[in-house]
Amino acid sequence: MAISQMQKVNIIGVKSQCQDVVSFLESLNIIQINHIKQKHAEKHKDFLKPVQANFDQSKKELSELQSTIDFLSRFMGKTGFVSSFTGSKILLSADEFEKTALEFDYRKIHKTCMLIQQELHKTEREIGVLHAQYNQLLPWKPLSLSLDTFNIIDIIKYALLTGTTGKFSHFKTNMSKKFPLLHCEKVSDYHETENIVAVYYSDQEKEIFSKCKKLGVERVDLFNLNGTVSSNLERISSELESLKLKHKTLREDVSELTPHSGKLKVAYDYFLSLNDRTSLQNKFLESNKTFLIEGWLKKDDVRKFKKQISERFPESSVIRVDPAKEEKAPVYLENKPIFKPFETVTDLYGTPANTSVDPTIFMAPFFFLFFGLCLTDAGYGLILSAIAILGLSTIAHTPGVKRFFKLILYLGISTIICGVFTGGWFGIEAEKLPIFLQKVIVFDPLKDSMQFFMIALALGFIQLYWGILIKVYNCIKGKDFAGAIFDQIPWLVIMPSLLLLAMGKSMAKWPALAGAIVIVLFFGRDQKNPIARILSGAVIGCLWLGKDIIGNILSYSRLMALGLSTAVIALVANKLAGIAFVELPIGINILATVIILFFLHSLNFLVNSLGAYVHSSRLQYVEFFPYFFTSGGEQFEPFTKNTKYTIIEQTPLG
Amino acid sequence: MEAYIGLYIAILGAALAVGFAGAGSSIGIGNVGQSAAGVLSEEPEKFGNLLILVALPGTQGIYGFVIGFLVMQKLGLMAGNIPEISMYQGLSILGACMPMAITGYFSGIHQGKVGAAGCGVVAKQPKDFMKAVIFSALVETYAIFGLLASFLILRGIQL
Repeated sequence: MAISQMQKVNIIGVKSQCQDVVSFLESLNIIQINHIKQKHAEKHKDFLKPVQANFDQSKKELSELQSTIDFLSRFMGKTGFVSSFTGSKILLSADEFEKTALEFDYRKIHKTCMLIQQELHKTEREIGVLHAQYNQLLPWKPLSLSLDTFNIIDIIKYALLTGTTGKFSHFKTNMSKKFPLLHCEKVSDYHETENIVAVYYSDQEKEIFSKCKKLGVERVDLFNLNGTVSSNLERISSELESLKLKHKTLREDVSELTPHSGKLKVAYDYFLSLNDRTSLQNKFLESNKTFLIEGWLKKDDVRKFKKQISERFPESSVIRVDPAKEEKAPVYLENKPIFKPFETVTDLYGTPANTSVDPTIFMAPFFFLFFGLCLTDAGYGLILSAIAILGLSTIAHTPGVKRFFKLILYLGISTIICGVFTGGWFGIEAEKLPIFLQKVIVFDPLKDSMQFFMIALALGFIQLYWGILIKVYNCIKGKDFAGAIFDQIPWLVIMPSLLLLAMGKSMAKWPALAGAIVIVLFFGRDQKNPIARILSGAVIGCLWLGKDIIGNILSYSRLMALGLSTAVIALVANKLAGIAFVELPIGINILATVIILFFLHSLNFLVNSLGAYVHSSRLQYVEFFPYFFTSGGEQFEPFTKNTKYTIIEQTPLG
Repeated sequence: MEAYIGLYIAILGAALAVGFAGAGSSIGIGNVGQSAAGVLSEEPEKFGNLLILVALPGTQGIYGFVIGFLVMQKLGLMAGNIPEISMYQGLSILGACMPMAITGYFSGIHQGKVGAAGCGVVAKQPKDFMKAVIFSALVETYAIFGLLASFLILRGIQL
């Protein structure tokens, strides 16, 4: 239970075996490697210096593989809706992983891919250019003049002009007045433009075109092309055809390569792990012939670890070391398997400081119950459990995911229990349930809502009381007896007394008063001035009572509100479906009923499951944890294979 | 006409609860949705996480609808027979709806703002995604209290 004891160790070995030792440590997955700071090595700086490993090569390989994978992924099918949530990873054994990565010549694929990519880009660029040319030539299709004509430099010159529709007649009269020797002819009307060919004397060129500009008619330059427009158009379209064909074959070439994508991903992960192993060595110190590794292990693992290292590497040795005073051991939470899934909730808040306690076991029963109360529908609980079981049997390959789905399974079970006792079965009204289900109903959230409300507040009271008890235990354990007696225990007396007072038992006022006096007299005991001491005791005491106790308990009323909203929405779904069934014509009505039921219940299930999870967590984080829990520890992260695309099945080591 | 004035006022209450809480949710989801789409354009694989952040401010609308439905049920509108309700009863029901309407509207908007900022967390610190969800849920607390207050008042009104 709780936080594991950690042991700091040094590993000393022969330099020639360094790579093998690192690989072995990676496969063990039980030691966290520290970066040995130069400061610690100062004493022996004459012969120990930091390792400077060179991992440029594996970095280069990684970037090549990444670009190939990215390139191929653009030509592969789209990821499904579900896998956008779960991600799709390749599952294989350690042997398969090693074998695939070593036997596969990724460079060949990489080179081919890069060539194809270049060709594709080139083809796409060319297609773009030709398309633009084609579109520019299209308006001039009726022009029978050869395009060479426009490039001839002579006394008489030809030009192509274009303006918006309706300008031509105005333009022609205007121009012919000023330049009698200019001749204009309309070639075509095309998409709101009028296209004109003009013949003029070259010495008037400047004046003609400046006038054209004023009239909003522009000169068009149709490249240095030969032949007629229509012959050019034909040529371009046949070129486009062949380019498109080329593009298609290139794409087909790529799709022939896409089956290699899986192997590329394995190779990527192989080099990633190689890269990690090499860069890890920068954390070591080395002398001419030896290396030094510093790390943390669980105390329970040390003996096994020593044995394994000495068997495998007889020249190496493992030494237990005492950590420096300011050094903090990493934190590893170790709970009984039944509580393990709830570590997901703790991890989310933060790793406990190594002097604090592991809150998992304390909050697990509450989290379990709260989630169920927020949903209170056995039908939804069944679905949740089914999802969890499905997840556990299909996609849960890593410990983290497995832990999460187990938690979901627990929460599903909790929802079923709460649903059975509150008569929640997909929002079906209690009277319509089978008799045996009606008999087990303790209260109906819709009818006995006050009861539900009181249960929520009572749970809040219990959890806070429990929180203060844990704090008292912590104070005593930390030998802060004054803190326990003056700051915490009075509340343990005041809280139930106030509750009894509220229930009309006037006798309870005496213990409440006694508790209050202790608080007022001793809460501010840090203050030297007696008046300040009593004043601060009274003020802080009142604040505590108001904000941290009454306010927190009221916050638990959310359990009832969430449970109620699930029940009401489920009821609405059924009512609407019922209306559709009665009102709509026969035939359509069944379909409509099914659609309404499916859609509204799914929505209710999704939104309220998320709400139940988030708010049950919040009650732990904001209301419960502050009483006894400090986070800020550094999580224990044993050195292991870090993969991006693959999951390697772990074979347990003896 | 005058016989039904109480009913009109009560229905106005239900309409305000559903309408304002829904409006708050719409604005909130709109806010988060814009930021989420921004992150999505760079990292489409984060759709799942972003969807949760976008959906969170939607609960106010649901709570508002819950109150609206409970009013309809209390008035017997679902059963189809129109009851006679005095003006005072109508005003009481209108009052009962107000906590939900007000908290739903404002908390929806602000939850949207927190969620929009949370999209940054999804982009830069994907591991801390659930922390962003918790922040967003802190705002929702007040809509829950609004729902509770509306529900408890509504429950206490005798018809």
